[in-house]
Amino acid sequence: MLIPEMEHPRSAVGIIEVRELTKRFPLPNGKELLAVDVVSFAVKPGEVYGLLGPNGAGKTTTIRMILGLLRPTSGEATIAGFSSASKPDEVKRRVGLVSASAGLYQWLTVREMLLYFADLYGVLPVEAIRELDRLSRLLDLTDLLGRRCATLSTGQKQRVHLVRALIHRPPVLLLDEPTLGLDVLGSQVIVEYIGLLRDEGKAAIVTTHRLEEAERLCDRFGLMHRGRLVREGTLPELRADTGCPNLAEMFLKLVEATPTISRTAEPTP
Amino acid sequence: MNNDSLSLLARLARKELREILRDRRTIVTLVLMPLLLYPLLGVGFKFFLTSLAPSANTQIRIGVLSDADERLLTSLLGTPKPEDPKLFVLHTNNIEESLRAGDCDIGVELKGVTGQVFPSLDPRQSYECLIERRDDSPRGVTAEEFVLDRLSATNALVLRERLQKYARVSKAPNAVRVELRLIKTKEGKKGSYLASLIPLVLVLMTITGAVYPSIDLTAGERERGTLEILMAAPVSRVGLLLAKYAAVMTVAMLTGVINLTMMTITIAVSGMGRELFPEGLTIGMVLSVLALLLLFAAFFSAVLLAVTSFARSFKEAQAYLIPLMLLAISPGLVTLMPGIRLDEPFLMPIAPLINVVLLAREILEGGAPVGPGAIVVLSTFFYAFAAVTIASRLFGAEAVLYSEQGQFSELFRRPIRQRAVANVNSAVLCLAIVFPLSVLIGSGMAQLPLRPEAILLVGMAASTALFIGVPAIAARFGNVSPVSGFALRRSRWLVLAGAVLLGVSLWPLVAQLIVWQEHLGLSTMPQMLRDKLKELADQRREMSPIIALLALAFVPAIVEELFFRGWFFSALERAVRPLTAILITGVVFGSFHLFTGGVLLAERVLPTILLGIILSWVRWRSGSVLPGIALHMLHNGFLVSAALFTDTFGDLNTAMEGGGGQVPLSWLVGGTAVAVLGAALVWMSRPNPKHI
Repeated sequence: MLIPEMEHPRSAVGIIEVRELTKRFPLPNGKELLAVDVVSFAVKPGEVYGLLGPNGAGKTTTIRMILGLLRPTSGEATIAGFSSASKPDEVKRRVGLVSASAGLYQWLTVREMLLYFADLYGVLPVEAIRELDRLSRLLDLTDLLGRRCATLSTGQKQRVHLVRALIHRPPVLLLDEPTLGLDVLGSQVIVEYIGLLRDEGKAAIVTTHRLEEAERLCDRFGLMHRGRLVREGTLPELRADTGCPNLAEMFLKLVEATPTISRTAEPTP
Repeated sequence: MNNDSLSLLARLARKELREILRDRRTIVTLVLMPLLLYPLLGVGFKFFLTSLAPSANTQIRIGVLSDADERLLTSLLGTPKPEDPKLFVLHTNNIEESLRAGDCDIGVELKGVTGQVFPSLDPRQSYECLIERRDDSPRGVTAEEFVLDRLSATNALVLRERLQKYARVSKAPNAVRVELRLIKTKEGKKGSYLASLIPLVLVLMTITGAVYPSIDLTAGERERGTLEILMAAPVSRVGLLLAKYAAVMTVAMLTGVINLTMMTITIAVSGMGRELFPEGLTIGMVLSVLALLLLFAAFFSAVLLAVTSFARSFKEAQAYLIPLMLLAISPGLVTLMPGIRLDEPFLMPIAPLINVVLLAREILEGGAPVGPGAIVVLSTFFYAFAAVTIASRLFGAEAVLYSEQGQFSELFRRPIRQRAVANVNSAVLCLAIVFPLSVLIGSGMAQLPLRPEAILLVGMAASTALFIGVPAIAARFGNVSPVSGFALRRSRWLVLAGAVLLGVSLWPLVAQLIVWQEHLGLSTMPQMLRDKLKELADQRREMSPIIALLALAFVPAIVEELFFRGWFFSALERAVRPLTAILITGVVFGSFHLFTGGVLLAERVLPTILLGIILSWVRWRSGSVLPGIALHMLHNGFLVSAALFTDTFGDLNTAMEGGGGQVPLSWLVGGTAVAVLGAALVWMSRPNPKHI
């Protein structure tokens, strides 16, 4: 089933809303790991939100909770008003997920795999073929449709994933390091296409470690560190707030301001 | 499940199959292994059989009755050749006894021998020869082949002589007319013990076919990173798992079919059928074994999926599967032990895998007992269901999806929020646990060395523990409220009154149904059991009627209602439409009542299914388990009383025990009228509002 765009008029309220989301993981030693600590933010239609932070900051866990793949310890996330905890299918229908760790079915052809996912999302066969056609022309996949997935290069695979995430025309995209492992050209294609999607009115959350890319791509940023959302705002707002000219420096400042245990244990050279 | 979701399931399964079948590794186990295995196995068997049987250097022991027979036989067999086996002739008074004792391999009796000593073969004479051997001796077969071979050579020789000498064919053209007789051995139709190996090989090969696909489609998804995007799609985990189950099962069944075909061809080509199986290998046997293999494939695919769904990588899945395979092979080897049969010891029909191998063996030996056979089929079916249930709980679970973060203990953590009723998964799991155990109790109790009263009481306690204990444990773990989980609610008076009326009126109708079935010849009760039951009934008449009624009528009624209409129906009601839930509960209830002392009683199927359906319908209309308990207690009470108090219910009881006679017409008419009234009362009450 396709969700008509009209169902989500651009509004001041975010189509993605995250309210006091918290996740604790039990550790083998009986203690708990606080992976996400009372995080709240919202993303409007037509907005690309950059969720940035060092490794282990809780970005991926946040994205997984938004989609309902992980149960939050407390708090909730909604997509178009549907809670990911109580209405997971409504949420999943409206979200396209691209994640760096995702794989492909190596024995299926690209077309078979993409149509399989269209079917999982309840897209009618006629519409699925039309959409597949359109997207593969846009992302230059037309020649690859008959190839087996195992034979694709990393860049090609990532473009297949993008088509897979878009084939049911979701109003929301969750992109967890979509350019990981891609060369400059490969990431350029992805970044440009995300820009196009923003113009179509889709809301997106992007996590990435390529900060200059994020600066070009994202409208607003949330900086996460050790499970907490420590700063939020547009680039000019963040510049004014932190006094740093770019994200990279903000990042360094962020990490230093809250030093890790090992840093304090070691004498600084 | 409606048409849409079925067609989605079919499309999902098609994708899984496409994926598996394109993988060359599947084709290897599917086609190449059996192609190589069975001819090799055939060569091995042949070698084994010939090494058991006499060959050039070994001996043939022939039993004869007299000196005259020996001389005549020696001349009939002709001049010995150097490559012949050594012949030992044994004189005996009773050939059959010697054969049974294993003193000789075959026995030969010659007729037309009148005490006079024949120096050599008289070419004008015709002789009749009776060859006897055990039906289970490969040496006997070889000895018989040798003797027959020689006799026909002699026949040809004598015929040529006669044609030359007399230029005319005598009335009896053959010098020897041979008659064969098989000595039935004590073990009955038991074939060569090598034949036991064949079902085991078939079962193990079927397992092999399912192993790789099940790892690939579950742990493989996780390892390739496709599990997360699959879980991100709005499709139920159960649906995805069922599609995978269908695919794995298909491959396992294909493997089973290919293996069975190859085995059949090997046996047919090598001509070992008669040596391995007493009655040879017939089409009927192959088809029965095929059906059994398909059932087994359905069962073991589910078990494999449950195990591999737990794993997060190929490596991990293999680590789990190795112990499972050892676990599967070692009881399989039990089936090769002599004396292990399906009906003894009584655990065998419910022991997973062993039961299938044993049943297949009995089929190949020329016939399987119906009762234990049905227990095998039903229990395997329930096990398959339970394994699918477990698999669907594990597949794609948070802990499997994100191993680095999730913990397996979460899978077993008690839900914080209390649930009103059990989920279908756990209810089916309870069913799969309770079914084999209830069969076990049924057949095990009779073997206890106790007084009849004590046996009844122990049986009552055991089935109470089973029917109440298992769901109670499930309720504890699943945090299900016992009150709503067992549908222990107050019922409306109207429904209760209706149920009571049904309880007092249905039993003459059920009795009549049994009588009709008896007349139609639907009864499968063997005379032995009939006698045993009669003896049992006599015993019961002597004991305290209170104990008998309690143990045979009231307590079973209460615990069965709580289990079937309370726990099981309440869970099912949430998942499927009421009519479906009523029918399923009725059939499941019926299948639990198929067996008495481990013997299948077909005549009980229809009455119990009908009763089960009525009870489930009352449960649905009332929303409570209580009216059903009242109905069931009264119904059982009357039927047991009919058996106990023969003075009052004389005719009815003889009629039901197959002694002829009818249920009195007045009872039938009265029963029908009251039953209709009772049903109307239940019908009139408002349907069950959802109690949540």
